[in-house]
Amino acid sequence: MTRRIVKGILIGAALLFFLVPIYWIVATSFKQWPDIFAIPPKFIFQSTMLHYKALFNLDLEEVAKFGQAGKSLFPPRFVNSIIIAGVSTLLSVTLGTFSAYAFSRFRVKGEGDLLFFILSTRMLPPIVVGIPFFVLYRTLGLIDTHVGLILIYMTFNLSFAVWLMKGFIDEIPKEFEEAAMVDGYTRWESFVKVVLPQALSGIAATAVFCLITAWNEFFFALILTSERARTAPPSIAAVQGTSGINWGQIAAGVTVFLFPVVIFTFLVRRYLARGLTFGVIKR
Amino acid sequence: MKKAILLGAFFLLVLSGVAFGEQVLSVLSGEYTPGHWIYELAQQDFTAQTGIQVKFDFVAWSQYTDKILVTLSAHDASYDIIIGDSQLLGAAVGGGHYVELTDWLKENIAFDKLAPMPQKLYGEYPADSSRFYGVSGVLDVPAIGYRKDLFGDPAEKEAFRVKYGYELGIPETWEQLRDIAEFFTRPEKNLYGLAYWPAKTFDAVTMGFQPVMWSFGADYHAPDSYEVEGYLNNDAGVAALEFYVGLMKFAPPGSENYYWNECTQAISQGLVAMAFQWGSWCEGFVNPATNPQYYDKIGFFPFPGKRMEDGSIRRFATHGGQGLNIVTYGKNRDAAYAFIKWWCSEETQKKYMAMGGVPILTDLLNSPEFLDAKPYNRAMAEGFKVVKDFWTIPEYAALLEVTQKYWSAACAGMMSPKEAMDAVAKEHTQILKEAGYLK
Amino acid sequence: MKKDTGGMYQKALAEYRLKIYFLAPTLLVLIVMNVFPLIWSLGLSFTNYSSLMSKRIAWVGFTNYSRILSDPFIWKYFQTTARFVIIAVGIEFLLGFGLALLLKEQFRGWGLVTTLILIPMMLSPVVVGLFWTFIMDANFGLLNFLLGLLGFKKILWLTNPHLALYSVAMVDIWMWTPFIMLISLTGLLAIPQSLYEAADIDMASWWFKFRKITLPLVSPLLVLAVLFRVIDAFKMFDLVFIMTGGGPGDVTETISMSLYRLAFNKFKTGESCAMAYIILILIIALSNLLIRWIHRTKTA
Repeated sequence: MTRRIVKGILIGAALLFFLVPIYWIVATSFKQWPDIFAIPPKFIFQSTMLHYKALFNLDLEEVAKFGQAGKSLFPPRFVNSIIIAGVSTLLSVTLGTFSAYAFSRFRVKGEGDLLFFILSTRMLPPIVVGIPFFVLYRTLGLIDTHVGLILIYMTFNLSFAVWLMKGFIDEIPKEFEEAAMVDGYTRWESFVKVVLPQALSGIAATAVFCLITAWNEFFFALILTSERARTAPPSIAAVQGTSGINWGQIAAGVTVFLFPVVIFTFLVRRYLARGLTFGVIKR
Repeated sequence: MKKAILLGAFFLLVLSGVAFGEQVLSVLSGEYTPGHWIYELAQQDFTAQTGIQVKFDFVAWSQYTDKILVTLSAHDASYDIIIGDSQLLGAAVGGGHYVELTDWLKENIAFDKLAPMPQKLYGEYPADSSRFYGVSGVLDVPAIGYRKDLFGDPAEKEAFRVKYGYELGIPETWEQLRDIAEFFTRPEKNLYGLAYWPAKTFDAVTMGFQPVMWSFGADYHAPDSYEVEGYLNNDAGVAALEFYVGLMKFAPPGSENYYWNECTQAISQGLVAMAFQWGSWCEGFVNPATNPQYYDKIGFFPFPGKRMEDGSIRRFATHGGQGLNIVTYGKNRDAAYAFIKWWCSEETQKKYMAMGGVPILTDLLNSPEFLDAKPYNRAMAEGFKVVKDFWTIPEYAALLEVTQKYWSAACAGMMSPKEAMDAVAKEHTQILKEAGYLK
Repeated sequence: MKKDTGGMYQKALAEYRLKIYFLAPTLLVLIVMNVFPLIWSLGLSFTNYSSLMSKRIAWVGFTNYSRILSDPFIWKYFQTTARFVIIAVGIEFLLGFGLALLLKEQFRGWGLVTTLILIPMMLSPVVVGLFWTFIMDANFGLLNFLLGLLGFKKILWLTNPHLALYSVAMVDIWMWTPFIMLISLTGLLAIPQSLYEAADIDMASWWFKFRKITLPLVSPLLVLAVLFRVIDAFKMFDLVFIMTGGGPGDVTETISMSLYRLAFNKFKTGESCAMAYIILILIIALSNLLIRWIHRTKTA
């Protein structure tokens, strides 16, 4: 019993640590301008929807009073973010699972080197590959296109997806598929019907990570796009009016932008927890 | 397979060509209100006059340089005009990225009407060469905002006179500013004298300190050469930094990371009696919506100076803001010229001024319409008379990195002002030697 | 007999095809998207190319490399980065794995709690940097206010030169502990329950089960999580850039901050590519150590 209480307290403390700053962001999005900077900080305040209206261009006149010029670009960029992050996540998880399976189950020549090469994409700071990518993309006509950003996010996440999925698939005992193949399944069938269901928790975790990375990517979204394909992150944190950083509207943007990922994570949570269902001793 | 890839690439190329084909003037700007004003004005006015469509890409300041750099170095045709920082002039001109405007300006616009100092600083490269690669765009100098209610309070005035022996008012010299800051520093009431710029972020401490340094009589280098030792770290330079670091005692605790946003916050919190601010962000001090408690209690004065032996005051103001530059690779060069011509016309500038912008023409800058339009405009106009710039040579970033590092360290008490000035002089000398400016 | 070998051959061929189909797309994408920038920047690292300035590129051999390696400041920034990586990833590992152990057994509201804990990771680093600067403000920040309630004095989180790096590390910990937590948790949940049941029959102690079952089975994934965190923390840039700009002085100047200045402020593209390759080699060496460790834990 005491163990359960201690555990409860620890989990509660962790929740506090992780969530109080989040609460603060969300609260900021409902605060009136002066309350945001109040000394001491305000926990009880009169809430306003102004920052959300500003985000979606609903009350331009009221917003202008706060020194905010121009329209918010959030809505179209939010849509771009959903398309680009969604498609790239789907692609990198799919390709990543396939190749992770191949690396895990087949003999691949120079496997270690290949895996390492795959990882090297992630090691170069994006700053350095920015210019070559720009040149490559201009030659291919991919500047300011959805396809361009999808490709780059997919690449960036692939290394991660391959490695992580290989980690998960390695954990699934080979005996499962072998047994299935003895029963007459082809390799492909046993992959789909035996391995995939076992790997669901890994796939879910990988998808969550890939989505988060693509969703928040900043640098390439800025330099490889100008108008049609730009995603939301470069503009969310940039909201400034004559009165300086518009914290309320940034907080509102962050809050709205957080929703799709939180919902996605919540939806896949049961796969995260699923784990292996068979109880076979490994290897 | 290969053919298919080539075909696909070709197809994409054709597609993108079609998309870029329409005649739209494309402008890259930092994310700030003046940029939005120009955009709005251009949509109403420029498009109506010329039939040319305009689109602006507003980029957050923290990524502004990255975006410009990648665009220019890839010789990208996405933008026809860049509203660019003056520090970038050296590098952009050296690389051939900006179109030279010297002759065109003289033939096509009333060049003499442009306010001369800003035009030199935003457009001329190399300095004093009379060659121009841009025109004034968004003019900016810092001013200091102060609490009129505190400065005007009879009890405070009396107490100040007793303590310092002169009248409390707008400070003319840095020493007076120091006295006032000291006077209003009352930690027990959570009130401090001054919010200023000691931060490492961006160019904060350099922008704040250099007018002090100049007015004390030091400079980055000798007047006629790039000799640094003895000009930057002479007695005047060290005294200036000692003074600047000393102001920290009258600033709110933990304000070593303050720059323009933090100063606006400090004013709206009633935390300080005075605060540094760029002209283009002064609106935040007096906007009733964002500063409801103090908006009507804020006045402005230009940066103080140092009293000379003849009784005059030597003042300087840091140069800020951006110029309009035509990009070499843009596809709509005629439209870009038309835009600059439109921008420099008196009519446009009057409209821009009416929106709240700072006009780039001498007559308008000195007109009562401008001076009285905003409470900070007079302080800014004073500043424009004594504006001075940091380096514009391509090495500016390396030099700036050094000043930011050591001056912010001095403000945080990590090294003495003397050590900081000597270290800056030493590293600046090395950078300038390597670049060939110094033997 | 003959028929049988034919079937084997058929099967082997099918397997081979499947292997190619599974691997080819990934490798193709990576080769096209990866090799070009890698070679490009490797080539530039031996030149004096400046993305903004020079029209003519000259070959300079290893000058860029020797210049960087002989710069005392770069070594200082490497040390700062190493300190940051060790502290941040170390604590993330302990907290993340500890949390995963706590969350291993499901309870009511488990899904919600897990999702909520993951939220910090879902924010963009720029936003995290901005709001933590806000929270860590000495005068009106939430953190000092809460500590004030407990009787603490004002702490100058970001401006005290002795504290600034740890404050940034704390934000990194806040943001990325959930990452380690999630990977460890999926690893823990994948351990077959029967192993514990068997150990229970033997009346094994908690510690024994942890050491002999939990740790060996979860460690490959755990090391992998640490590997990714080390790589990313080594490259960490946004948090420092937004929160301190590397200051005060240069106490929070990390190696990627310095690389950023070289590439994007000083326009020294060639030199910055050389520096990126030095960082790359270091990260490769580090990752190799960690990957070896993964293999060791697997064979052990």
